[in-house]
Amino acid sequence: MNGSTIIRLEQVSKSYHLGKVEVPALRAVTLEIHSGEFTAVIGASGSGKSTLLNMIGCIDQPDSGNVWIDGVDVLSLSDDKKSDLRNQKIGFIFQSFNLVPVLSVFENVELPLLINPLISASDRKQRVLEAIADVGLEALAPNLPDQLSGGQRQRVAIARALAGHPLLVLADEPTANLDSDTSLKIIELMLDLNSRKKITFLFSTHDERVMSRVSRIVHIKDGVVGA
Amino acid sequence: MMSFWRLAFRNLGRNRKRNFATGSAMAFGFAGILLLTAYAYRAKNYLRVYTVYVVHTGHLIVFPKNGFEKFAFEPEKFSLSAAEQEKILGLLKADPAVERFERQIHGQGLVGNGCVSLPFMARGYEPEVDHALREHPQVKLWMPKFRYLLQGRGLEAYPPELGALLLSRGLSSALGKTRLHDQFPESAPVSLPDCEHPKEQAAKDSNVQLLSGAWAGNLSAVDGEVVGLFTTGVQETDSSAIMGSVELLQKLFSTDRVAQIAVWLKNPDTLEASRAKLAAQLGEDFEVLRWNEERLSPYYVGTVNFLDTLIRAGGLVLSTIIALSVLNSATMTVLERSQEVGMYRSMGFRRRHIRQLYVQESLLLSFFSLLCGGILGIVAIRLINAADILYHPPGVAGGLYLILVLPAGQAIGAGTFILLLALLATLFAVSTRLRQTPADLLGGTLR
Repeated sequence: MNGSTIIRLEQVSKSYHLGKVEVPALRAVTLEIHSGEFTAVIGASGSGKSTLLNMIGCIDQPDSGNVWIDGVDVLSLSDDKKSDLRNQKIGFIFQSFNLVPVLSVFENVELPLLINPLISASDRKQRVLEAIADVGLEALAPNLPDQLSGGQRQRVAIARALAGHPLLVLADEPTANLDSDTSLKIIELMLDLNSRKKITFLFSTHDERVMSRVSRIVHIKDGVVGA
Repeated sequence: MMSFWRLAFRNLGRNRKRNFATGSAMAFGFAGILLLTAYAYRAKNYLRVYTVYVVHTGHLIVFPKNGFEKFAFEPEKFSLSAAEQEKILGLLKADPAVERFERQIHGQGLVGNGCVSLPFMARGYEPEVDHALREHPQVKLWMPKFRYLLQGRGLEAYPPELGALLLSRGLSSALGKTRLHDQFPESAPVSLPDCEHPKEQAAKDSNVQLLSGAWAGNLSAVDGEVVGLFTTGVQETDSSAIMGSVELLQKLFSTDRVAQIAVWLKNPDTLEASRAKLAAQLGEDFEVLRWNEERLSPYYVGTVNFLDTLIRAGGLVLSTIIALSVLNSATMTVLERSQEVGMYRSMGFRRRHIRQLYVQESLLLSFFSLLCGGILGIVAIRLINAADILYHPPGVAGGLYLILVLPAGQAIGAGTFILLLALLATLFAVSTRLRQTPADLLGGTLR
């Protein structure tokens, strides 16, 4: 399944400050993610999983090291260019869904496409409908998020992440707020999208049932990525 | 299809109580500013029209050099001779910018009814000009309820040889001259005084005697016929003022000179240019003053300065309330929706997109609030105007009707100012938050 390298981290370190105490979150992490992979990042709470995903998602800045996404040195980009890169190459799935409550399912999925100048209005509509169909929510397209179950909301979030046809979808504990049955269905959906549409997923999880299904597991402990 | 405007509009419904509170602060603040503006605008125009037209100040006044300061002490020396009047009137007649002009004279003396004599301050005007000023469109527009002629007819309705004059109402009452010339038969004889009953005696005819020092130095007296009663609008002068024709007062002061010549312009916007032109034409022996100079119209200038201060202070307080309300609301909204902002940023929204979204939200809220405030203000103004509220500012005889006039340009300006204030407050609140990384906004993780 492994394709070309789309993400490369080299000696990435990041520390946070808790008062006067410096807490290292990532220590010289070197990692590659390849196109089409379905990768789980596994580690205990506080091990640095989220920080790793933040670095790959370009939503935080490392203290040292380099991050390349699709061959582009992220640290050399301006804030606006990084925004464009996130918009066009990375899809995000949030633990608590983060849907806009006043927008319908259709409009929530459409949101990241609004700011992409490369996508026409008709193409936008097509992509949204396609993404909603991919997660099986066609009938709920006009509904508001508070009319949906937790699982349905996370499906909307997945559709939103997919609508931009990203290079990579990042998810930090995407099933943490869901019951076990729903969690399994969400993982099945992500696996299905990975195998059917060759979408690259990178996500963190504690769910042991998931670990047996993924193509690659990245272990992280105390900010250090293991084998 | 979604748009930022639609998203902004829907977001307004997310915290209705707060948005209602912020919108109310803006709406009531704006309505308050409109009421203040309308009051000040009307008051300033009322005072302007009163000064320029009702008390005959004119837009410009021509004095002999130092005449404004020294006329009261040496009227013969610091007044305009017949030749000077002719020269000035010739220039004014030839100037197309001049609407009208008037020779004016003033002085003081004693007025008697045969039994009692009281001090007076007399102003001599040209009856036709006085009539034209009473009927002037500016007077009708800004002082629709003000009637300075309380009883009788104006001086222009009587032949010059009659010696027609108007008494202020306080002086009329003090003299007992409550009946006017028109209320007596034309041939009514002037009766001999019966000063045992002075009031009854005074009411028997409309004749008064004016006594004053002639400008040359000797005493002089003339008979006058009371043809009307008027109010100066000012308590201080309402019991001692007399208005007569220039001819009558020239006769009283035994002179053919006048104190000054007032000039009304067709377009008052050219005030300074007209003043400079006239001053240049007349030369150094004369001085031309503008009506709104403090030494000429201290009451007008002082009151307008007071009003401006009041408006600035009131406007500042209301603007501060509005700005703080919007700032507080925007800050709370941005804080509450930090995670959402982080989500937008993660999805690739640039900082300017987020600013745009919040600014559009603020614009919509401000627009609806200002619309409501505008309607509220206009309704309040109409209700106040319909209520015929008579109030009594210090020193004003008879009181004033509280009438508010809202200038559209200033109202739009105030609305635009509040809108900008709201936008700045929103931008400040959003920009402060947008300094954080998307990860920080999300709370450290992709939660």
